[in-house]
Parts: sequence; structure tokens; C-alpha cells
Amino acid sequence: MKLDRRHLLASAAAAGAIGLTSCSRSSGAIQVWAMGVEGEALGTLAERFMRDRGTEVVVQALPWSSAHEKLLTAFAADSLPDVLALGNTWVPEFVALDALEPLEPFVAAHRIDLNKDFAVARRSVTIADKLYGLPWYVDTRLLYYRRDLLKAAGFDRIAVTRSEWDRQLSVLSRAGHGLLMPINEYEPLVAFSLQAGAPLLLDNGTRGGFRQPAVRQAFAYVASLYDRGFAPVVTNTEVPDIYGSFARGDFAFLISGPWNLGEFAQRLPADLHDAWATAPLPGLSGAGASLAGGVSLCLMRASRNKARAFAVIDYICNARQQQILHRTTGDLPADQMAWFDTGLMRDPRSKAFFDQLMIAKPPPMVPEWERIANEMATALERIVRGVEPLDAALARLDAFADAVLAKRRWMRGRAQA
Amino acid sequence: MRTRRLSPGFLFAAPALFVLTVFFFGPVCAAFVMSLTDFDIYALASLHNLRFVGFANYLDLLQTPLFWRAFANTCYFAFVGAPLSIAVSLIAAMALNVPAVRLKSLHRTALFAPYVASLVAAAVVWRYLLGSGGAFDEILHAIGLPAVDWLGDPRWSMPAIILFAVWKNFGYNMLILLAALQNVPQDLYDAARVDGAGPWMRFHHVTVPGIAPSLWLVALLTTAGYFQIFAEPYVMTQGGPAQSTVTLLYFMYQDGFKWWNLGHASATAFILFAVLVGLSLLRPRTREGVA
Repeated sequence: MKLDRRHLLASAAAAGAIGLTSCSRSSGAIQVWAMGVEGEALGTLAERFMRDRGTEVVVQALPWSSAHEKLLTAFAADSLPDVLALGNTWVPEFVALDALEPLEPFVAAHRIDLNKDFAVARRSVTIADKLYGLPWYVDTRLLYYRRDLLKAAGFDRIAVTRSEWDRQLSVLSRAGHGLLMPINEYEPLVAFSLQAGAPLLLDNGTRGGFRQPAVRQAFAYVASLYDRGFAPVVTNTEVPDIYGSFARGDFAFLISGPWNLGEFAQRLPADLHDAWATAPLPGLSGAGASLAGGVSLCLMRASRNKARAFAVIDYICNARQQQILHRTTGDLPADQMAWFDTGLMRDPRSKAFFDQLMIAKPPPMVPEWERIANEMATALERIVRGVEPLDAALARLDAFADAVLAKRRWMRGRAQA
Repeated sequence: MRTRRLSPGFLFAAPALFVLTVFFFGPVCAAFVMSLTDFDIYALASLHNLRFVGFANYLDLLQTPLFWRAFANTCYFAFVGAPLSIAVSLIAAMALNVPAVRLKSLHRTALFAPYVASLVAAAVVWRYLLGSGGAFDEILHAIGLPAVDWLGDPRWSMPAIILFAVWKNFGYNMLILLAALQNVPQDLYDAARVDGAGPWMRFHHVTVPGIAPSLWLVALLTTAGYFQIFAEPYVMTQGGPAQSTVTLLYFMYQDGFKWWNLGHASATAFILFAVLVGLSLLRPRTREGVA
């Protein structure tokens, strides 16, 4: 049965991906796939590994664009590599496909201390109490702000709670320095929703929970940031140069990720070098949660060299290699020890990411999540643009989530029967 | 004993029929069956998770706003882009057909070149031309018009893609129409001129009826081809901004290969298939000179 399906799909849908790896599969070399600049950085790392350990490693760097499609077609064509660097939010999908090998036995054999990693990164790749990836680098969203504009408005320090932040936003947005929060990006909305403390999906991730009072309140809060004029209702394509806008003071606040640490340092004019800072997202009482992201290294179930493949994962993920990765790409190491050895903890701007990661939460771990999150942004846009009132939009969002998750419900029901 | 004689024609057609069956009819039937199921990543993991859902995918599609958006975008592209493309082809063909034009083969090759160029490479280049500070902005600037955010503004993204598609495709139709124009007897033009017909009358009463069969063929092929627009939005806009360039095939691609709802996506494919079959059944009403 399994063979039939694979062959059927290989011929019907996934012909393109076959050629990639099948040729070098049997040679004993460990195949590693990683996306973006990290994939390119892995090339030199693999050379060091080969020199040190004598295992042949072949790294394939995939571009991030349409990576997801490529990985799924590769699965359908049975041509995934031995080791795959997988975005944490994609791990649930590949677990649902039964494509990943649980790592506990390997972690025990290599005596790896998992507690050195951010707990949230480990939690993001732990499904049904099994660990499916070793955290490689981490990512979260927090607040970038203009310290000089804040000071000019009479605020000595950045807000910690939402009520403090509201005061700062109201004063600064009246002076023309508001918050940039593009309405078509779902990440800030998800971050504030995670602060609600209620799970966004109910019944083991089989139903939408967006009408729960706490989640409803989070939506209402984010919508109010637009309604009160704190944030302009724009899409990210309407602000083509955020660095220029930030430098001009078109906005004083921006919710963004770690890649902008390097970009801001490089692209802002020299006289603004000390004028910007970062802080955890304001919460209901004290600093608030944000959504955790990042990339982990996963071992494929179909790999024929699992022990040697895991040795590669262990090597890539050790603190020293994570430091080197940070120096080449600016990625934030998943290993907390690497933060102390790289100076990341001495710089208040990156230290804020450490603080945010300590209280960050993973988004719901179901394969359908990305689709639901996209629809969250659409619902928010309908609310803000006045197409639909809050409760109607949330009811529609719940109906959407329930429809998308129908298959999961059916599968769970069958498993229980 | 009598054996039934197989026509030799079958033998000659057999290799082609075999290839068609394996690579066309087979997959089409498989896709239709798939469109009646809820094939998704769970079914990819194990066929145990596959359900037969009848026409639920089709009903669901008809209630999906983005599907209708994609349908409207596709119609916009096809019904604005195809006539424009044919008009440009006809103008170019008529220009090339003027006896006084020198270096005909050079012009013909030059005008045909965009059609031969790789679509993705051309789209990438056009993305630069249409981008801020690109050639199009320069031209608008030179004639005193404000710059247009071609690929960033939901109102201009589709016109920009139509412009690109017309440039890319007109060469092919131009060759077909040029051949048709050369078959219109010169006597007819001379006779019309003697009767006092001006250029417009000659175009309307001699040229158009003379090339009508080719024109009809070109119109049908072009419209059908334009309904299958995918690579242009995929390379140039990724369906954006604000879903203004999500076409049926792009919608299907996202549904199928991004969210991996292959059952659902197959249903989209069959709806497009039905539209194209309907389109190809269109025939011109019999008129003078139309076959």
C-alpha cells in the first residue's frame, strides 16, 4: 500500500524533486538540507566536520521561497535528505507525515544536556512528549523603538505594561511618531493573542478558540491600536523602506525580529546609532509573551545512516558552532551558553531578545496553523476596516478554523473509537 | 479462419495513443478521482486517512471568496489581455505586410524574439523595469506623469502583468496573422479601391473577412492560453498586492502545493477545465466569408 502511494505520487505530482538527491543516496554521505544563508553557512561547517570526523557530508542550500513546497514534494517522492533544518512551525506537519525520527535515544547516547537550550525552543519541537528536533537558532518578535523620540516626549524609559505603552503611544502618535504594524502581517497579532493565556485552539488543536473572552480581548486590543490612530492601517508593501521611515521618525515603534538588529545597525544614519533600542512586548501586567520561532535540525525517519546523521546534528548544534553561525549570519543561538560567550548578553539590544525568549510561547502545534494565522490577519483587517464587527469576524474566524481542522477532528474521533 | 483485420492506421497511431494514455488521459482521470476525495497531508502520510467526499470540494469552492476573487482576476486578465494581445499582433502583422517595409525578416525576427525568450527570465527582468526607478517610471517621468507603483498597487498590478503578457506573446499570433494576410488576394484590395473604398473600409470589408478563420483560431487559442496564467503572477507578484493577482492556477497551486489540499486543488483544476471546454465550444455565427 505504502509503495503504491509513493510511486503514484512520484509520477503524478512530484517529478521535479526526484533528481535532487536520489543519485547520491547510497554512497554513504550524509545529506543535509538547510534554507537561506544558514544553508550557505553550513557549507563551510560541513567541510570542518569532514576534516575532523572523516564522515562525508553533502549540504544542499535551498532558497526560503517555496521551500515548503519543495520539502513536501521531496517527501512524496521519498527523496528527503538524512538531516533537515526545519522551521519549528513546520515540525508538526512533518510529524503528521511521520517523516521525523524521535531523538531521545540519540540525545541520551550523545549525553546532550537539553536544558542548555531555551525551554521554548525545545517545547516547539516536542509533540506528544517526543522530541523531534535539536534547536539550532531561535527567533521571536519584540519591540524596536526610538529612545530619543521617547525622551523628547518626556518618557525616561520604555513601557513595560500595555497601559504604560498606551500613554506613550497616544503622546507620540499625536506628535506624528506612531507604531508600524502592517495589517497583513499576522505575527504581532499572534503575539498579543498568546499573551491572553488561553490556548488559541481548543480540544487538542481541533477547534478554533478565538471567541474566548481573553482572546477576544487581545483582538480588541490590537484593533484598538489602529482605531485610536496609534498605528496607521497600511500593508507592508506600502512601506517599502522601513529603515528610512524609522530614521525620519515616521514611526517610533516597530514590532520585528532579530534580523533587524544587524539591519538597523547597518542602515540607520550614524547620528541615530544610539537612538534606537529594543524591549520585550508590553503585556497585561509586566512584560508580555511573544511568539517563539526558530529552526531545529531534524533526523529523517527514512535515513539509512541515522547514527552518523545524528552525529552531524550534534556537531552543528553544539555551542561553539552556534557561536560561529551567529558571527556569520547574526542568528540568535538556541543554546543559552552561546549567548554568554558571544557578547550577546552584554548588548542591551540583544539582551532584550534573551528576556523575550524566556517568556515567549510557541504558536499552536498543528500542521494547519500557518493557514489559520493568515486568516487571523484577514479577520483583523476586516475588523479594522469596518467590514465586520469584532464578534462577527471572530465567529467567522472560528468557523474557518473549524473547517480547516475538520480532518484532525475526524482522525482523533476515529483514533478514540 | 478469418482474422479481423486491424487497420494499419491504428498501428501508426498506437505509439502516440499509448503516450497520451499514460501521460494525459491517465493523470486526468486520476485527478478527477482525487477531486472527489479529501487528499491532504494526512492522506499523504497514510492512505488510511483518505476519505471519499463526492462533490463536497466543488461545493466548498463555490463558497470560497478567494476562489471567486481568483476567477474574477483570471477573467480580467483573459478578457482584457487577449483582445489587447491580438490587436497588437494584428497591427504588427499589418505593418510587416506593407510592401514598402524593408528588412522584413529582420523585423519579423525581432518582434518574434520575446515569444522565444524564457518566460521566467523575462518576468524577472520586467520586475526591474516595473519597479521603482525602473524604465517605466522614467518614461512616465519624461512625459510629465507621476510614477506608478506598478507591482505594489492593487489597481495597477494586473494592468502591469497584462502589459508584460502582451509583450511576451504577441509575436506568435503575429506570425499566424501575417501568413493569413499574405493569403488575401491583392485583386480584392484593388477592386475595393476602384469602388472608392478608403483604408478603413478596405480593412473592414476585405482584410477582416479574409483572415477571419485565422483570427478566430488565434482568439480562441489566446483566450484559452490566457486563462491558464500562472508563471507571471508567481514570479512577479506572488499573487499580491492584496490578492489582486491571484489567478485560478495560482490559487490552485497554493491550495495544492502550499497547503497540500490536493483534492481541493484538483477540483479547482476541473472547474478551469470545464471553463476551457465551454470556451472551445464557442463558434462564430455563420457570416459571409467565415468558414
